[in-house]
Amino acid sequence: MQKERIQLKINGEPCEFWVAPNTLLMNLLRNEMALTGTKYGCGTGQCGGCTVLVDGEPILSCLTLALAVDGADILTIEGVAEPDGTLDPIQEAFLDTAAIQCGYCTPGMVLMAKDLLNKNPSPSEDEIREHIKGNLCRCTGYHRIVQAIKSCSE
Amino acid sequence: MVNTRILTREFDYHRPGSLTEAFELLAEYGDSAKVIAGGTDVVPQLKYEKIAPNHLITLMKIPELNDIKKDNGGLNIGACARLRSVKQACAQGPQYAALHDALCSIGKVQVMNMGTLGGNLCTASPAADSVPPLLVLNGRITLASREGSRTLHVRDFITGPYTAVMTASEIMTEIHIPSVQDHQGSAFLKVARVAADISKLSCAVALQRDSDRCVSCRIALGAVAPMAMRVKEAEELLSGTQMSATLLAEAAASVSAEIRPISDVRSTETYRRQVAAVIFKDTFDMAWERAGGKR
Repeated sequence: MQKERIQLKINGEPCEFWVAPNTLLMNLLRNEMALTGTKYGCGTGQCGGCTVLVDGEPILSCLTLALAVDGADILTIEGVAEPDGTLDPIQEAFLDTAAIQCGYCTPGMVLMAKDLLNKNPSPSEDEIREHIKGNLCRCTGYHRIVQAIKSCSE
Repeated sequence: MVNTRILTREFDYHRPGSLTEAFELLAEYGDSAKVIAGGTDVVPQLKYEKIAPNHLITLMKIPELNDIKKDNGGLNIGACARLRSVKQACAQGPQYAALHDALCSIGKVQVMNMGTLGGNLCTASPAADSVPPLLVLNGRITLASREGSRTLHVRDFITGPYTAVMTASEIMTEIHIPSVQDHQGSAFLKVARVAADISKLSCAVALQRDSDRCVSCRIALGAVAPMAMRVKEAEELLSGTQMSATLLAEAAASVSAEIRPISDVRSTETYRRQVAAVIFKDTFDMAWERAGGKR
């Protein structure tokens, strides 16, 4: 099992890694980059906790081999706020609406919300629920999360 | 218990840029190789040690497998086109409605961005949502190897739960959906526990209508037998007949009797038989309405 070199742009920063073929993107981000906002939940693609954006599209990093995304531009939850720490409006909305309880699903939810609002600035409630259907939250009952996303729509 | 946080299996990873290169790798590594596309099925299989390859060969770097082409003959979908792109392509023609319905319900946004239609077929799960629509839309697939290629009907491709006729030297290159207008309306519905979940039962219908007459009708169900199946008795009951509520109820009873469901973690046999009748009726009504009929 030969390690191979890959290049990634992570939250705008060009990076280079030597990775083993069985390294998952989730673990590369968490272990090599200490970007622990990307969560390990189920590990089998059911909970959405490990969601990151690859070239602008949300994917599950727990089912993605690091080698498979060689050359990609990756956005994790750590790259959503401005570099000076100013939160993204969607993050502010999650705080204002109390859309967070334990917080474990929040990184995935925020990234899905960002993805939705990028593509559809004024989504209906049905469209919001459809977009986050693959992200499980066991605390909030989803209501506040949907409200938070709705409050950011134009 | 399996630790799903990591992949413990060690393997070499190959990224062929052409089919020729991929065939060479398959010839070289034979049974010790596993082909991977989007990874939404293969990576969990690796984690659960259902498969133990020494070589993973990704097909995602082969440009021609990612194309989706539309012509007069229908829709040609590259086996590795992402489900999201396939869904967009199917949205453009009423003749692909049943497959479009299925792709809308197949999974979450993330899975649509990762998974491929070829992968969904090659995994050959009895519950694969793409199969019943492809059965009623007369879908065909092309398998290629060093020796050449062959095209076969989807119904002849899957032979049982998680098994298909594909040999170890073959790669699925394309899925073809004819645009022949032998049906005017088609639809797909499924029953699942939550929005992004595997089907307990799924149903696809494609039909041709002439005022109140059902000229022809194809019906397929998923997750009710070792592989998705057509229900021929119900099809014959409806084809060439004047539609009525009584006849539809009779066909629904026939669907319920003809399927061969089992009891498993997702449902019981009894439930599947009962719900099959209801879902079939709803799917038929949807297809009938899309064909311009009123119910």
